[in-house]
Amino acid sequence: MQGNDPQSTAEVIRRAVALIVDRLPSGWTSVPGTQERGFVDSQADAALCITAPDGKKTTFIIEGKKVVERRDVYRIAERMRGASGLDDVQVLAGRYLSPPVREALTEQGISYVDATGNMRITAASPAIYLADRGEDRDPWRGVGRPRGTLKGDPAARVVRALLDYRRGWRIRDLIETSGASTGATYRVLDYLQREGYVEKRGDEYLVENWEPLLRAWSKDSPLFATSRVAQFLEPRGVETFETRLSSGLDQKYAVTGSLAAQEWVQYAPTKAAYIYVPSIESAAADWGLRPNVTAPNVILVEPKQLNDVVFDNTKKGANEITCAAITQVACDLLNGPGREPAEGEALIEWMKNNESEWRRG
Amino acid sequence: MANEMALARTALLDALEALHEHLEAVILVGAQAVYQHTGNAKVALAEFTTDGDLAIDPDLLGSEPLIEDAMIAAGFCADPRESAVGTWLAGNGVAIDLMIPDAVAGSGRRSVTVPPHDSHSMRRARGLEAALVDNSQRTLGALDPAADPRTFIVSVAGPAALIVAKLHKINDRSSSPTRLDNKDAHDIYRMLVAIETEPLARSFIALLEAPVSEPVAREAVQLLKVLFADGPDAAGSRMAGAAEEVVGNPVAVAESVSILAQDLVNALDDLVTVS
Repeated sequence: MQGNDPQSTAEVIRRAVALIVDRLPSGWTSVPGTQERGFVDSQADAALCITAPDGKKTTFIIEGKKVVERRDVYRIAERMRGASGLDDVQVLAGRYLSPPVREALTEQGISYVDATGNMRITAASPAIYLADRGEDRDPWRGVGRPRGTLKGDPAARVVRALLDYRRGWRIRDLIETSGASTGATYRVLDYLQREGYVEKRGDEYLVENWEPLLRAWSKDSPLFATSRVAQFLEPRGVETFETRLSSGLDQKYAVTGSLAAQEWVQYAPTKAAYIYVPSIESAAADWGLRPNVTAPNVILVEPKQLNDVVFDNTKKGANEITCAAITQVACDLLNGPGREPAEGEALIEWMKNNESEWRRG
Repeated sequence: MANEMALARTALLDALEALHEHLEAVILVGAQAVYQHTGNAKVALAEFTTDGDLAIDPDLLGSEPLIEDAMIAAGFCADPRESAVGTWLAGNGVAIDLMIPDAVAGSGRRSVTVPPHDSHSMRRARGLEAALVDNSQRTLGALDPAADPRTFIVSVAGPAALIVAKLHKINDRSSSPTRLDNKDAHDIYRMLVAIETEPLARSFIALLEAPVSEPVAREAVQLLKVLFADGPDAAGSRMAGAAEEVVGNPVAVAESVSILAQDLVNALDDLVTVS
């Protein structure tokens, strides 16, 4: 129950205080009070004196902000640390804090709370750990507001172009290369800029650090969320299926997941092959696959569109198998089952050390 | 384990050396023969055997030297247990079984009637008849050729003959299966993975057409249906899966072996219909 959209920073603060007080363990007491602390941007600061059952005290210094974007976090954290008293706990109160913002705040060691109920407050003395889960999407985002996630095909197209190529983009070039519509490209770029993934220099957009963007996109792109999936068993094993893939049947496909990752990083024998195909029925017939949900080792994934971005920038592997782009493979691995996220991390590590080998100029 | 495999191969070479006058009559069967055909099969369970199995074709077996004399002269001693007729223990402790296919072994319950050789020097075994028909010559050496340079050209039973033999073995022991029997079922899976269905089916047809192997081959096809092709829950499929417990994926093995067995049964039906 997040209630109405807080209309002012003061309202954000009031909600934050109420949420904190509500979640204090029994035996703890709190006394609200406002202090003049002199935060540069602060519209309305608040303080909450907290007393533990053993009499130890601390003060939550609460800074309220209606809008917090990921790119602002570092600056806010620096300022809050600078203004902090020794025994105070700095708490950022937001109207809504998105998952990337919350992650960045945690990285910076800044406690936070938002009006939807997301909360992570820690203190050493007295020892406090308050955590709760609110919304992962802004419940008050109105129609016509900018996109708040990287879900869906247009975002995937723009992000893939930004990741796959290392260059500054004029917006017209990005539209052309990504294949996304003009409106969608602007919306996605706007979101990426606000979240600090993309920089604008002059009239060019640039991704200096591709890794956070890849991870953010992966989080918003659950594997197969917008695709049809069917499971099959090749009784002679994945290796036998690999030789069939490389035998040159005229079937469009792109291997992803663990099998594709082996093109760049040797991790462990592949247990299941994940393959994007334009048509599951046609591919299954061509490759003589048998449906099996008990112990599948070949999983065919059919995106909604025949020319989906998963088929862009594919790579012919050493064994003549067509692999999806490394960025797509890493994104899918991070969302995959079992040990696949760990394989995704290994692949990202390789990508960090070999950027010139995969990121096109 | 690798060491036990090497010891088993060494004892096998010792036996081949002991029987060199009879080598024409000797056919390698059992796990050591299976692995000759399945080197490229990627399965989770490592190759493993601690013994050696040799089938003897009595039609090609000469009178001299006597089997028992040749084995004793080479340092083997007969396993004294009544149930172990035809089992010879090598100096390194590995058991080598000398077996004559039941259909050509003469009279006897466990023992054989192939004079002038001792009736207890070899044991009769049903299912090995197929090895008389389906075999090919291969060069066999030690696992570490640098330490043991001996090589022998010897007949090795083909995959179809080995599957027939394994099916009979599993069936014979179905009343009291052990973990070792799981491995026999897994060996069938290993061969079905390694050998394409169509050539395997053609070898089976040859076994069904040869008078000496026809009865055991026909029975084996029925056993293949009941024990494996009936599905992942059939006894043999489950045993093959159970062999991979801990090290692999039992469910996938049981599913796969039943599919491959069904493929083989279908291919046999097609070939029989065509002919």
